[in-house]
Amino acid sequence: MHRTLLQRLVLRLVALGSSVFAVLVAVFIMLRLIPGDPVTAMLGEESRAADRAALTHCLRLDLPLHRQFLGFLGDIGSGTLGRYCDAPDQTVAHEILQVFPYTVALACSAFLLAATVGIGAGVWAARRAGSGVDLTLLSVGMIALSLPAFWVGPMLLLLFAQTLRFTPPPGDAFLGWTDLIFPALAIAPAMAARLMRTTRSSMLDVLSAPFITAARARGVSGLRLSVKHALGAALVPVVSVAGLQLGGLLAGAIVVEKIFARPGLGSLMLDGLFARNYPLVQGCVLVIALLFVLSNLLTDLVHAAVDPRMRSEGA
Amino acid sequence: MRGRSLYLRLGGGVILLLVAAALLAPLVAPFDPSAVSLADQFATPSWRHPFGADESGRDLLMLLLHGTRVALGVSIPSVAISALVGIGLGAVAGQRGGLIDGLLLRAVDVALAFPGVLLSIFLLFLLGKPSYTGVVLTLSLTGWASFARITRAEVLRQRGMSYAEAARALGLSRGRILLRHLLPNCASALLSQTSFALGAAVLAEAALSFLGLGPYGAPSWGAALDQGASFFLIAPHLAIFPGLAILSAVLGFNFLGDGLRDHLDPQQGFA
Repeated sequence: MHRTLLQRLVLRLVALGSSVFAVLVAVFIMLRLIPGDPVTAMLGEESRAADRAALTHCLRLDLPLHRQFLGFLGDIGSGTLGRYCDAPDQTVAHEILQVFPYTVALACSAFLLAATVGIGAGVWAARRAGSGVDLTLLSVGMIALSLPAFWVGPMLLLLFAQTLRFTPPPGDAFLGWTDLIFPALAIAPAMAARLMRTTRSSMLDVLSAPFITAARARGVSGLRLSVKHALGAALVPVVSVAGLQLGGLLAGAIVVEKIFARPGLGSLMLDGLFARNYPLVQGCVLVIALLFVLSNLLTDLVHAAVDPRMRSEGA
Repeated sequence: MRGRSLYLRLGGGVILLLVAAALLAPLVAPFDPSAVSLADQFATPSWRHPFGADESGRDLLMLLLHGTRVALGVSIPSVAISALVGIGLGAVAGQRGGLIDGLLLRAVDVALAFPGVLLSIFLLFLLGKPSYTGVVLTLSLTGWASFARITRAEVLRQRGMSYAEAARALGLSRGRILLRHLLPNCASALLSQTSFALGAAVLAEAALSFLGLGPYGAPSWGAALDQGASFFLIAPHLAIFPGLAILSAVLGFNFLGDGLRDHLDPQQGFA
């Protein structure tokens, strides 16, 4: 079956859109199944019946479930993602937009760090396969894979801010470089290790492929051979792994956000869950799901860029 | 390869130590969460308290020893459940193929792509109060997918081999071929996966406890690290040792898994 690029793109977007919708429905239902009453959570046990009724109405909890869901879709359509009942000029979208830059900055810097180190180390290990360098890199990777990010964080602070007095302890300027580099350094090791292992084994496969032997026969060798000839082909599985991790980063940074008292999407959602703030949780999940889909699309695009087969074959 | 058998020994040794610690903890150091001693508050490591004491003067070594029981007590049953479910589904999908296989592959993809911590958090809220059973259940719900994927791939691979063909030619039933011939040959891959999964479960339990969603009131390493992290500038040992405990357990399981894979299946290894 041959489709044009546009047709494939539309099909892909429809598929991704429907998975976002499915996630929204699932979260909407899950939230209503969670024990605990949002009205009690907000007003306390000894609130007046009239206040409770007003809040219940404002939260649309007096409506049947399908009407509640339609209301939520309406909030998405209006771009507010829901207004707060106690502060009508405050919207969920506003609150999410406030933490959004922090999440993106952290995810991108951790990702760049991990990709550079991981892919570089993977290529190096593959070129020296079986040597002491390879074994050391593999062992270091294994340790990095086992490091709890929520332990690395305090250890970095202890070392650099407390003992060496290299940097001031992180303060409130969350986008300053020290305030970004420590959380990124705490998240990156495990990602880098996964990327290194994938790059290494993929490189080993490619290095034994006939086209590499042909390049060798033409006299290409050394770094030029591994980077210019082999790496491009070896990157295909690496991109898949990296794409999955980018998606996970956006939500998985919760523990690190907690250590560094750093705002972020994950923490916002967790706070929302504890407070039984349905609109906030729904909004956060929507944004996380959209980011997931976006990283998925990005992965496909990069795949198409590094692997010519992906461009010509039907979706 | 020598470096690899070192992994096996190192990992196996660490895990044996942890199991011994878990079994012996109540005998060596009775757990008494109320044993508050203000004189020992934030005591630094010494002979009396080899790892120091926490903010209410409890011995950190005692707490971490009992933490071994929580870490293994959560990870072993949760991995057992996810292995049973994952291996069952993966084996059937691998042997039957077709629609069942397609559906399972989709489910596995979704389960693996979704960030585990996030899913666990939602499930824990759904179950209500944080509890031991709740943590075990949520971890099994997020862990089955890798077992299913590996079993399916291995069964597919084994099914194409000539011994499997011979078994079919002899007229053995599908179930018998699967249980007596194919699955035993997947054992080495599944054994190392079990070890990796145990490591991942220890890490996940620690992360959930760190977020305050772990087994309620249990002396979990993650909870100890959470407590320690708030005081780590005045009492660094409170953050250092719980983290080292988590790291050594996870690393032990990962080394053991890697070592097992190379030991049991030398052709497969080196990935």
